[in-house]
Amino acid sequence: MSEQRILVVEDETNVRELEAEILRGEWEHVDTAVDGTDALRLLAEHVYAAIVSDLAMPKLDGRGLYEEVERRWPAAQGRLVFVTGYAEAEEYDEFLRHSGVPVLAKPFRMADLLGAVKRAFSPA
Amino acid sequence: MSTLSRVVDRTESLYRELVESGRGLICIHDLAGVLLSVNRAAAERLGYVPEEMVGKSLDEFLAPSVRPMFGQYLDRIAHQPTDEGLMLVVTRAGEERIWTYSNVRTQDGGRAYVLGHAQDITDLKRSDARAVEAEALRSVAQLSLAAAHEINNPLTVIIGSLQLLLVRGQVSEETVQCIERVIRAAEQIRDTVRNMSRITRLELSRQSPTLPDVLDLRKSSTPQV
Repeated sequence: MSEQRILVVEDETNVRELEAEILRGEWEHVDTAVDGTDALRLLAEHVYAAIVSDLAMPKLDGRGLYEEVERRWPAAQGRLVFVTGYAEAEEYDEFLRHSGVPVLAKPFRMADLLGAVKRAFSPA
Repeated sequence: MSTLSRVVDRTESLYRELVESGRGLICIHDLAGVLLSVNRAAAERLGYVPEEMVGKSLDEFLAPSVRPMFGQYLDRIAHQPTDEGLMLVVTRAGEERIWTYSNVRTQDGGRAYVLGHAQDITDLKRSDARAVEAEALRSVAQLSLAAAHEINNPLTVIIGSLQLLLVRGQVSEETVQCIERVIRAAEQIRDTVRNMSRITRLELSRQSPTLPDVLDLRKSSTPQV
């Protein structure tokens, strides 16, 4: 079981719990946040090896979270992975292309989520 | 020739020029619908020269689908001074064009005839139709996107939870097969939802003779890359 810490940011309770459960099969420390604002609070407390975040969320969405991470913890920016049901949305097209953050489309298979998180890893 | 006569001749020639060379679509027909005169613009628009049309009934130049209504038009214009509306004409090449007309019944030396004036609005109508389709497409795309988001979250939970059950084991071979069947079905829903999000045109198809035409998701969406 890996010691590295993972953060899951997702406003949909069922999806958040599922993602955390899948990741807990490989990592002991998996924290969850209900939106971008909640995630910022946790990011101020811990260093995360990977941040798995939804894109469309109330209060602070994935794009807002990306911008805050870029400003406050630039080293963590490369550890972001977006998971979204809006993969086809034009509204996010340009942002996703520009940011280069990997995107996993919902619904995903377990192996896809685990693979995406492992690829996002950088020395924490 | 007197000055008055020269002025009358000049005025008549100008009027003739106005009708014959003007770009408006003008004709004169009798109360039976036989064309007495057609200006060049109207004839050319239909692919003829005026001499080919004069003496023929106007309904020969109407699209077959509207010809049965020609009698009603003649009846109206015989009993009221004006009539206006849309007419569907057909060119010599077989193309249907939409003309808007405004016709006036008039009298000359005791003989009644109709002065017809029309405009070709086919392109305008087609661009209106394109705008309506674009608006419908926008609405469908918005609805599809909202549906995709709402469906993808529960699908994620269904597929992910079933996979967790498989990974953790302790289920019989029969249960494994059942779970895999449900996952495949859920992934079919996922593909349908993806097609919905890629709708770029509205293609309808008939799924059953008793049902109205429905949106064909495969034909209407951009293929997956």
